[in-house]
Amino acid sequence: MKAFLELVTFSEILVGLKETFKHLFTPSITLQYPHEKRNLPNGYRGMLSLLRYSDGVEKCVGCDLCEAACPSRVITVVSAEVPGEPTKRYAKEFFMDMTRCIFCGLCVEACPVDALGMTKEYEWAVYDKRSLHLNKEQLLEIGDRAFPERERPVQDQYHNVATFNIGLPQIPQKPS
Amino acid sequence: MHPVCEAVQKAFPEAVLGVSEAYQTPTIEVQRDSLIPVATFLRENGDMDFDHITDICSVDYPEDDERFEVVYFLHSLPHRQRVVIKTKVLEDDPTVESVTSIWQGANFLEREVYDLMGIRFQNHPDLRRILLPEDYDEGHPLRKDFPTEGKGWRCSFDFFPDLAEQPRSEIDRDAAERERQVFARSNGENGHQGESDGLQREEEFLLNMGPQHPATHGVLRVVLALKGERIVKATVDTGYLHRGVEKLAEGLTYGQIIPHTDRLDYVCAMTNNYAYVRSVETLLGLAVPERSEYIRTIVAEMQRIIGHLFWLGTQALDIGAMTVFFWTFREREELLDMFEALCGARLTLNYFRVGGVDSDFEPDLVARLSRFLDEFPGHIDEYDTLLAKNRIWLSRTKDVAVISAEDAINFGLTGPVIRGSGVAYDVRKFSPYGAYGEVEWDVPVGKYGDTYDRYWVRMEEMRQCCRIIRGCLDRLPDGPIMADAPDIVPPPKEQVMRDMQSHIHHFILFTHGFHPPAGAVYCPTESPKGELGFYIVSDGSARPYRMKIRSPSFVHLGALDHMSRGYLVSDLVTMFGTYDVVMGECDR
Ligand code: SF4
Ligand code: SF4
Repeated sequence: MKAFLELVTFSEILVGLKETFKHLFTPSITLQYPHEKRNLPNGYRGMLSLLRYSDGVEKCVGCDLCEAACPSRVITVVSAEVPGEPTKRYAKEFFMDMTRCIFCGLCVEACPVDALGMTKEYEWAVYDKRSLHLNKEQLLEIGDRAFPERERPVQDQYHNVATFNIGLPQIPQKPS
Repeated sequence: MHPVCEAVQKAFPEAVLGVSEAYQTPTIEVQRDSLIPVATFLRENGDMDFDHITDICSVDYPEDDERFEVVYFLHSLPHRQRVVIKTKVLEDDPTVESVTSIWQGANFLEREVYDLMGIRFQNHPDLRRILLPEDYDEGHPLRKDFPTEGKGWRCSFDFFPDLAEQPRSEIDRDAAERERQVFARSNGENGHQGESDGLQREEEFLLNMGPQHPATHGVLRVVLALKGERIVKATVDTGYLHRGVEKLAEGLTYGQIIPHTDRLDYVCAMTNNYAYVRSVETLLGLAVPERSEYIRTIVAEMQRIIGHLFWLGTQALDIGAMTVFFWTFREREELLDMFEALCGARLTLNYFRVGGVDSDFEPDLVARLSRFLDEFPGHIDEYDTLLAKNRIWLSRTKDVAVISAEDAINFGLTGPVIRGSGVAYDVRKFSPYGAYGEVEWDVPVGKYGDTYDRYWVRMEEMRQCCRIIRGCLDRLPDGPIMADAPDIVPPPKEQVMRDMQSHIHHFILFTHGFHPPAGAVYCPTESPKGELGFYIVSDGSARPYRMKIRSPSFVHLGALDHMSRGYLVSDLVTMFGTYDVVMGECDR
């Protein structure tokens, strides 16, 4: 009898509808995307950028590790000596083909001086994909606008830092 | 010697060329011509009973006299024993006898080997290319002499694009005659049986479903031979998403492959990472810190919930229930947000590392997860009120796509699909890894093997996931999250610029990678779809010599034809859903 009543009254559908109507009164979780945006957590793996120290010097020392670590061959680094300072090197050219990038973050992990940063930018849709081949200036610009707080120069932070980016006078000399 | 090796050697003293027991898996090398007797023996002998074919792989050694090696992975579910059978094949005569008569699941696996390595299987019912297009005539891409970039169009790595690009020349619109014939040929044995008698003709109707069909969950084409609205034969055409991950992996270091595994089953990246990383760690013999094991288990189970929510939403949507889709995605979103807080991405997570995980669980994330676990079982009940008794849902799922336990095993099915047929096979219970052996949980098993049972199994699994996560959170030990193995795991970033040794290790590991010992290992992991396994052949260099992915979706599609015969076209949509196929993983 009960089963028959359930059959003719479509009770299971009514139960389902009750559940659905309950949801009419729960707050909506939909974001109206272009007008409202999500809060991204720190460490979000978005657009890549190149960073600078607080004195405006580029962090990148042109060591090529990011290029070696990248699984999809996004990065090309041309490194060179800083003119007149044979112990310093920098990236003369730095290209990123963002059409290939899979945003894995391995380059950031590989960079020994933390010269690369992943920003929270993600709205990078373009009409012409050739404009996603970024050069050093563009990458530094992204870094400037995404990371306004810059790190102090590495030689100010640590005393005996094993880096090639420091002029000779600052390297601690062995006491003779 | 292992009892299995011993028994085979005793039964076939001539045929066995060598046995080994590397990585606790008995491996038997047999002569090519005695493959079938050995396989039959392993299948039919009561003490062996290797009823489940896990995978077939092929490896190319261009320098060897016998160039190709075909590797069969067999699994005995009653005895919980795996065995690997290898056989060598000459380059001039690359043929092996097909094992499809013993295990039907070998059908797709052999076709894949034929497609990518060019080894022919005699007496195979339908030996055609499977991942690549049928008219692909540039050879077999997994051979070592095939360039990674392909033979035709080559990737030019130019950063200064030619702005004055020439327009493409007019494309010839007409399909070639040969292409038009492809499916007529493959269905030849069934076609045109009913003779026309003037007005009324009875013949099969060919219907193309896909590749652009929303219910195929990706780009899959199925050519259906129909009688009325009943399916007579379903020919699966995969490969629209084939990217050659296995070939790509041969050119990448072990660490660089991890982000590529995210893209296999893009719905459940964590478990792909986990499966791959586990294989590499088995190869290396590397133990992972305990905290890391627990974290891995937790995220893998979170991912399983996500995967099942995704499946439930889409399957209900396919069948016509829209509300469930919105509700499941609401909960899925919450978990994805946690992943985002954990590793900075929502789908392509790249969270696992060889030797541990990328970042630690912060206390507020643990609290968030706990809150979620309190609420989530209530949400599962919510979905159930909409579906479990709904008469439309019942009539669309009960007794649809039934597969018996024997067939399910014979086709090599795994995961919720085989459990729905009443076979309690779960890698997490068969050979516990991570923290699965330490917490309490059960394997839900269905009865009839129909779509409803598989639905029930997955719903129940979500509840079990909550138990596992809860158990892990309660016991989450303290400690490091990366193994202490300086020649494999890069040093912490803070030390890199301060300590010369770390500096050197960092550079070496990121430029050269690490070098696992030479050897080969197959390591299965339970993904939400089924058994996901990575077979890695190492020659001692920093890159895998060969990496084979045993993808559950691909194997499951091998049973589609068997499962769909006699059902209505609209039931096929249910079948895609109930397999939970993801084409990214199927096509690799
Ligand atoms: S995020 Fe990954 S793919 Fe992109 S540039 Fe860095 S290493 Fe390469
Ligand atoms: S970005 Fe970092 S890793 Fe890449 S070249 Fe510059 S310093 Fe080296």
